[in-house]
Amino acid sequence: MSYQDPPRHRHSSRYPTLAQYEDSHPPYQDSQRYQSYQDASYQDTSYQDTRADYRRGNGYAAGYRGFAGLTTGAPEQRPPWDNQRERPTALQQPTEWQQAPRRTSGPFFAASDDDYDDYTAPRDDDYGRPRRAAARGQRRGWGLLAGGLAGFLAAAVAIGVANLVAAFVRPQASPIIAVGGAFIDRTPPALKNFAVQKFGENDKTMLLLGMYVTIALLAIVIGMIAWRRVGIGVAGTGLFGLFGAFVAITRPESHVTDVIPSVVGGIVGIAALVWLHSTAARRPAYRLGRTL
Amino acid sequence: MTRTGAPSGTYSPAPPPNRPNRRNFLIASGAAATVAAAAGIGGQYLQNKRFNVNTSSVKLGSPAVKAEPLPKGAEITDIPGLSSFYTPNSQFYRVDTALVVPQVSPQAWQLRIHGMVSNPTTINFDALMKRPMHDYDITLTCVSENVGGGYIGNARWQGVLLADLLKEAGIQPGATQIVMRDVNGMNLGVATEPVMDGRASLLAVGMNGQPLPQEHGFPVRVVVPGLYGYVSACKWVVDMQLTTFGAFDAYWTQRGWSQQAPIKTESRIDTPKGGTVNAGTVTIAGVAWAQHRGIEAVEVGIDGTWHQAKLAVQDTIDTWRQWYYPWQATAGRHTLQVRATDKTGYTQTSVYHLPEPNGATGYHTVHVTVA
Repeated sequence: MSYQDPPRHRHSSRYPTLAQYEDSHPPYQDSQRYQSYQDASYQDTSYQDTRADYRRGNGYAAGYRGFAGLTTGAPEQRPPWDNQRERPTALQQPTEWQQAPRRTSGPFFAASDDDYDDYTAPRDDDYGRPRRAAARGQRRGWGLLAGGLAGFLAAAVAIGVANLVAAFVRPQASPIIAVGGAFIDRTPPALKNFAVQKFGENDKTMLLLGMYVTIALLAIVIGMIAWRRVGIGVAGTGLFGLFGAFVAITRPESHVTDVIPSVVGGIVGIAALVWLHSTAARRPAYRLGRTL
Repeated sequence: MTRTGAPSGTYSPAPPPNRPNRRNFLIASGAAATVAAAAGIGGQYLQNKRFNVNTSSVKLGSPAVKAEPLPKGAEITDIPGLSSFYTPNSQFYRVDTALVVPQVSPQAWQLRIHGMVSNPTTINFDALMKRPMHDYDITLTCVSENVGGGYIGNARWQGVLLADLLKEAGIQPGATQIVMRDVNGMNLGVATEPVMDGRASLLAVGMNGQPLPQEHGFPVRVVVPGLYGYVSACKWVVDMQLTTFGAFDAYWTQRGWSQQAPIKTESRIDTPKGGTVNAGTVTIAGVAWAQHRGIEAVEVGIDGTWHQAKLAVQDTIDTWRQWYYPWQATAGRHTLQVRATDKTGYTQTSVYHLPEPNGATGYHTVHVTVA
């Protein structure tokens, strides 16, 4: 008997040792026993990493293996959202690959977790935001293309909706008209002369065209940045809306209600941008609350 | 591995396709584009429907003071390419800063006259229409009219005399400037003196026998003969403030244009436009203007030799005059120029100058090749 086996209590022969108990009560057949087993799993360092990653907003993080700590029953009764599998190890490499199930999400929602129900993370984990994939040197073309298109379309939606709302306020409250008018007032005489001589009575059309092109380019850039950092996209679109509202309300003969088209347009534009990006993403990475 | 309870039978390690979600994204993009187009077009339609004012609601009566009938020969119509004496409303130039044409209903319109007046007044559209109407031919010119440009048009305007209204309001001596504001807050500043000196300064409601078009200031605009539009021709006017030039710089004055801008004596060749013409008799024709002074003579310069052009009969001194010169064109390249002399005896200067700050000068020059 070594010092590691302390003397047992005089009544202890009534109770089994831990080893003896585990033999007769396997952890997963005894709910009380299972709970204490899970409690012990909180001490697991890999699980600590998981929680830290989750807090950092890295999506389903590298070490994530389900909501183990919340589960009290046997593992077969896991809650439905806990659909993650173990990471494959070398020993567990499968011999046959299962076909992915039919997708249950449509374009109007971000891909649901059910879409990935039977997927398992590849060896090099890909569960982060798309930027992690890009950081590993994967192709970035799709992000730029989709991000730019999403930004362009979000701006189009914002301007269109602002125009629609302006029909219920007054036409001059439309942010395009307000900003264009403010631009006319601030045009340097040389530029104004050039426009009048060059475009004649089409100068207003050319001004609007120039504004649309400028906005489109900025929106495309914002959309590309938003692919990686959705917060910047939201902030950029929001700033556009606020700028329109500010200009509309500082025009001569303006009313307080002139801010409404710009504000509504900005909010709808933000929603359109986030939604478009969510439909283009590889993973359900963009969710309100996690990324905003 | 802390978790050992995964059902081993359903273990399925298919890696997710590492592809972006193109199909969903394209569908979503189409939806977004549709929403944008529908909202934009629908918004425009609704804006027009809700805010557009019908100009035909205004019925112009016969003016109390009719213009003199147009003298015989004041209008030349048989020269192709020559500007018509009256510019049709649809072709009349439009220069303003309004990105959307303001829509002002006659029922809502009123004009406030205030500032350095003894009886500040407000007049509504019905009261304005009950006042004696004048009609008068005035050629309007934009200061941005470059030499040979097109920002000039002649129309028969119908309206009430602005001077009468201002006299009733009691202009105080020392009120040197009238600041006119439109419904969007745009302001133009005109000197009081030319408005009050007896010329036909109009608060116009009609243009060429029709209510003012929306783009030309419906329901009421100002027309002052002899001054460039940027100091005088306020469209959609709703406010007149009598003040001094020292007290207020109007919109264009703040941007480097002159405070006062009488129209300069100028002339333009309408035909030939340049290029190649056939040898033989070529009619050189155009217009000349020196509003409120009147055109006395027009000369056509052909390769530096000046010839007197034939003039249409003078309508009023506030309108332009058409002119023409039959030229026996000989083969070769030729330079055509024009210069006008007004009734004060001043001949327009040959010194070329851009419109800034108070109107362009110089001879309009056209190069033609006679084949």
